[in-house]
Amino acid sequence: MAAKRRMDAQVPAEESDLLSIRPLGAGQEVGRSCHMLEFKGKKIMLDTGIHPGLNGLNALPFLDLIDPEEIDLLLISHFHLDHCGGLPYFLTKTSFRGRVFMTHATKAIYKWLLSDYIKVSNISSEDMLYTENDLSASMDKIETVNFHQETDVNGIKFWCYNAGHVLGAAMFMIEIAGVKILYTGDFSRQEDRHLMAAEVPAIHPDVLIIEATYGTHIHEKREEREARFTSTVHDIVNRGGRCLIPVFALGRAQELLLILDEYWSNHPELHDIPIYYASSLAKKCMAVYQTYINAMNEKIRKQISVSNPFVFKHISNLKGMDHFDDIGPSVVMASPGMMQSGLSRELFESWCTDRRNGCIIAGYCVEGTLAKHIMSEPEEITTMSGQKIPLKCSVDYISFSAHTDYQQTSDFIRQLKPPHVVLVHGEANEMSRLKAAVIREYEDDPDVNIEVHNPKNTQAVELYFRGEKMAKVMGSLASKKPEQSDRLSGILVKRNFNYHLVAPSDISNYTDLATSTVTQRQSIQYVGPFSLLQQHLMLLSGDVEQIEVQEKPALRVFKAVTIIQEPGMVVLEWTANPVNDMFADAVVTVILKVGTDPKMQKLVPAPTKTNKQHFTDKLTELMTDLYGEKAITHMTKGDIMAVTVDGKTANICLDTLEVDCEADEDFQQTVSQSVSRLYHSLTPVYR
Amino acid sequence: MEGKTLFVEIQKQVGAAHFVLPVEAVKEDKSLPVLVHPDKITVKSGDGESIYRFPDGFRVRPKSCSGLKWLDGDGLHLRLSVEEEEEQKEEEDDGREEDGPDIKPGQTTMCCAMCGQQLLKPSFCAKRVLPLPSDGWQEAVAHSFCHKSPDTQNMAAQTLAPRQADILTGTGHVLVHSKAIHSDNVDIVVSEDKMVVAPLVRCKRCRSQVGVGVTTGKKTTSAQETPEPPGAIKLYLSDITVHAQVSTCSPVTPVSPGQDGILAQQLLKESESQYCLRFVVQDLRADVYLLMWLLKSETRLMTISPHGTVSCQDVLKILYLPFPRNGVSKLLLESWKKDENVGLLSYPRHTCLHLVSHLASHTHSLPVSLRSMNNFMVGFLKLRNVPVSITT
Repeated sequence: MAAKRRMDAQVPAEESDLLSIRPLGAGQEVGRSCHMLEFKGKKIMLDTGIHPGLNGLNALPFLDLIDPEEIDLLLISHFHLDHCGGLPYFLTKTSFRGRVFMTHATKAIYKWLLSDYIKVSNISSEDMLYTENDLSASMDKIETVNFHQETDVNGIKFWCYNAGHVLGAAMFMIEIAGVKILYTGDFSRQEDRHLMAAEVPAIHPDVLIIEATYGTHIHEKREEREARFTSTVHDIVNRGGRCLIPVFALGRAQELLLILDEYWSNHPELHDIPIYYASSLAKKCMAVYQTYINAMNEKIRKQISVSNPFVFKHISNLKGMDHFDDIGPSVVMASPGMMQSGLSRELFESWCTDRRNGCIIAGYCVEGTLAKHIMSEPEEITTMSGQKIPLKCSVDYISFSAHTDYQQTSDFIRQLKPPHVVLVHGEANEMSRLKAAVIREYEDDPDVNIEVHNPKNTQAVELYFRGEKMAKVMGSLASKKPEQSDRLSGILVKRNFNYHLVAPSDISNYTDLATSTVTQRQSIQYVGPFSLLQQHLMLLSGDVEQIEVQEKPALRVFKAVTIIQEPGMVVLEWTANPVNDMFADAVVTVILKVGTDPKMQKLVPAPTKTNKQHFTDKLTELMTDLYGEKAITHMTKGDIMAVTVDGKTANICLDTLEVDCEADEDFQQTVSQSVSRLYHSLTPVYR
Repeated sequence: MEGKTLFVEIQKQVGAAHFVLPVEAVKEDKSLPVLVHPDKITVKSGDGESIYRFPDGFRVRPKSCSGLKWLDGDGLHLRLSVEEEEEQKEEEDDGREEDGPDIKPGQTTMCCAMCGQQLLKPSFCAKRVLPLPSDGWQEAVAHSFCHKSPDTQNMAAQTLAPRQADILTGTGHVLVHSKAIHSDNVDIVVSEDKMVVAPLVRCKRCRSQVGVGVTTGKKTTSAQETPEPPGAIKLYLSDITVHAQVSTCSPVTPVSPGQDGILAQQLLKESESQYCLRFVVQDLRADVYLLMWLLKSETRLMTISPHGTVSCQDVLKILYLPFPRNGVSKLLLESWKKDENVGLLSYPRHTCLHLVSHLASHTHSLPVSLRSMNNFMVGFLKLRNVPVSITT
């Protein structure tokens, strides 16, 4: 557990009902995802990304607003660097001591991507945040989780669902003190050829932290998109042209290959037209993809038992231009995606002047790249060597996005109906539009009350959850089933967010707590006779027992306080608790009074022993004096003494002192009075 | 056969060894003239007896003997399980890391391996020594974020060029700035061969090629203009020697024994970075010299003579087919070229030839029956020598 807690809050953090969600990055922006959750004294960080457009410390989320040492848990949603790129820094260069989790596939690809990223950054700038050694060190600290595997860290429960998006991407459900928060990371609800759609949890979260990248944009339907893609490819090769598809994203290329391979299988007339895949990452991708088949959809998982779905029948690997015989219609998937340089650029420049050829841009392109430029259908383009050549080939744009669109997001929210939705990871305008659209959807629905928040970076969303507290009765208190309206009394023990009611004697058995007793000892000067003290204490309590402690005369009063006679003083001993302390106070008062008040010292009544035998003897004596020896019959059975005078018998119950004489009521009263007086004269004043 | 050496191939991971004993054919009525002890093997021949003592820390379990067969020309083959002391294994691990040139920032000299000529300016002092990313890093960087931004695209589109005081290290080469090169000792020439695009970097004294020029690609040049001078020079580690201080370099011929260690280390790194064990080795003209299959990197070879001389080395065991230009080997080459699990290694012609000659010479050092396997030749490249001692 994080060792340090700030003590400035009035209410202890553990008891506060405040749940705070603070984006440290990706609040009304895209990039450097990082969110802090705080609830019941627990602190959780979701993702630690870097901003692709910023350098050095500026690329990090606003980590200076938090104390890393206080964070209990860090969860990483997927391998993209805007979600995990800050991790080597955070794990090795800050005081973070908590635990960090991601899925197996994410961990594998995280290392691979970052390893090259670090090397490139180190060479091109001086401002790199961490080294390869830091990356290796971070690998040792990262723990992996399986999808749906529940893990508990200091009372924070969490488990993850498939998020679609990319291989290994996860959505995390976090439960603290019964309050559930779902963080989607980046997700896609659309199943594709190899990845499954993001799962919809069966459990309704109280808070949904959801990506808003595409805002209110709606993607083309998958079937339509694929049909458009394959028919465009088919058209180009049918007219004798060459089709160039720049490879644009890790994993998306594999998706396109699966689509093309299947299409070719279904169209034998295309079998003479080669499809080439030229990617230096192909082998690495395949190695990773074939390792993590279990993170893919059911179709792929089933197929792997028959044949490897990533060994394509109609696609061959192209190792470079040297191995490419450009003799007729063909389909080439080549990197880089935006054709800044490399093989895709070379092929485009040599093919774009022929109107039979075509280029399909299959993903989002940024300004300033050739891919973006040709989408505006210019008349001519500038080659790498500076020449201007006419652009005659066809250019098509088909988006294969792996992010949720408005339709998917809206449907996801409708199924989960969370009371609170927090939008993250989206450009400010897109986010506002999405917020307004979601609110509008439910404004006429009185049954659903959804609050939508779109916090900026560093601004916390503050929500209050007053959870009911339930305590389990354990140990000896639970040995008997309580009846209705019974009162149970014990010690309430809180562990993480669970409450237990246990008997004090069970504390050490059922909890890690130790129990101890405090024995009080007090010496008081007392020089008077011990018997005088006993007499006065008898008046106080009636429950004074003569005992010996270490061969010294002693008294035990109220069965709680022991008074030991010592030369010139008495020593009191009792086990400290509120009742015993009160008894001890009373005893001390008596001792002090007896020791100092001369009046009390004069009264020296004989010690009376109020035991039953003594009383019976005295009663027998009294009755004999009053009515003669023959009148008394002692019946041991039932402890009854019978007094017979003139044939009338009065029975005295020695237990209750009730007198029973049916024949003569006067006689009964006379005897009863005698018994009562004797009893009062023998027993102490105070009972 | 008295006086011949005993050959041992040890598989370190499984703790087993294949022994080839110089034993003559045994007639059926005679018992085998071999005695296996935990620390030695004795072979009787005629009236004499040869004793092959194992080095310290190496022992065999005589009862585990299996696979006994006699082969003409080799002698007696047998398998035994072996024990090696832990202490010795730790030394191996430490030793492995020291292999390959350890380049650190500071005064650095690089010399032609053939003649010892200095290739870098005498004043060259490396401020930064940084590793190069793996092949395909552009693609990895371009796709490492959820959303493409001009910054990552620019980062992915750049050419990694060394600064003047940089040494960038790759799997089989180093990259230095062209201004760091000693122009009096080095020639940068355009190859007469049109198939070779990159300018060649040669040692002026011995004319051996030590590397190639790499253009940074920042400037755009039209075909009519003279080609842009290379911004960086790629020096092949197999053709140079690297020294930490200014020193006079003594020539080390790449074909000389021991130089195959550098090639072996490179192959291991390539195998790791390209995710494959099979390679097509070609020169810069794309002429294929070799098909190679990395078989085992945990093999130790040992030869013991009856006079007590022991040589021991860790090797990278390789199956290879040299010059696959016709017949079955040509067909195999065609299928390997199409196979995406086969990597491609492009070296200068002389490096390809050195590789072939190293492999071939090592093949000849093996017992005859172990020199080929399934149409492939069996060879090895030495990773390191293992120091041994024998207590008699």
